[in-house]
Amino acid sequence: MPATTPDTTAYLLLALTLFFVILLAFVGTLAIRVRNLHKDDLLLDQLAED
Amino acid sequence: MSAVQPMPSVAQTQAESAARTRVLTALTAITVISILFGLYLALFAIGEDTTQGNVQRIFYLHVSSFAGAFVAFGATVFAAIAYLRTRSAKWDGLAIAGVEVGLVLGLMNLVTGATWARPIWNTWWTWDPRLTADAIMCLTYFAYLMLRQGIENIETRRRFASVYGILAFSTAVITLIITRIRPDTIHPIVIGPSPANAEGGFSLDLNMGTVLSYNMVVWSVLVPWVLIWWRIRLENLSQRVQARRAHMLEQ
Repeated sequence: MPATTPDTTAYLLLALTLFFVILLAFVGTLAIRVRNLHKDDLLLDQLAED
Repeated sequence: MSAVQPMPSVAQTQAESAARTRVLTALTAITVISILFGLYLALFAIGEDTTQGNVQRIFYLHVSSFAGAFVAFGATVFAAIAYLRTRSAKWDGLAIAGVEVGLVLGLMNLVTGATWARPIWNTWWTWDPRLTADAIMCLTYFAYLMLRQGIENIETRRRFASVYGILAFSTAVITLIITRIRPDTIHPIVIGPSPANAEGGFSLDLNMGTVLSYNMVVWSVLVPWVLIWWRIRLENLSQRVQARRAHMLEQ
């Protein structure tokens, strides 16, 4: 058992960063996929009008 | 009573969709606030672990994200069984949403575990039974997404994905219980007695248990629910666009 508490704050910050980067990346891909589908939908609207 | 159900009007459908969007938006806001409050509790309300230092605080998210992944993969099993019984596309939408959300939460669990292990075990990774099972679980669900893309026929794809989704859940169950059935693991057990070889364990006092319970509820109920709901909406939109495209090609 160490005599003093080790300073492991940097690992905590790294873990938190990775944790939320993965979460936000997934949310970002959802947003991008929705935007692309809306674009496709608009394109189909235009093709239907032509 | 009429035998034929009347078709809902476009305005009615749009009003229902707008109401659902409002509910989902409110639920998303509640979830974000709950995540931030859980983070505050884990980082500031609880004292520092004297043996491990601040890195121990990550376990509130590490354990909770695995619980969330387990719930999401469980939703896939439920949806897969429902799809095989009814052949309704909506269940397939829930199944793939569960896999994507579960995989994301599983990866979050994996990276936080590896980062905790570096100062505590002096290594980023070791082929411990729990870590190996966790990695196999993530790879199995990653393969689900890859293999799904490779099947052209939509009915075959959904049927295959349903069976795969049910079988793949065994990897999540094994990951959950392996620390209790393999005595050679060094992975500590947070709830209950740790194995004899466990390194980096700690006893859970009342305050820690409360913060963990709060985060468990947030990450295993609110987060999977909200993410799966958004993913289902994406799937519904995708199916509508594909149906329109197919309809136009037929003309």
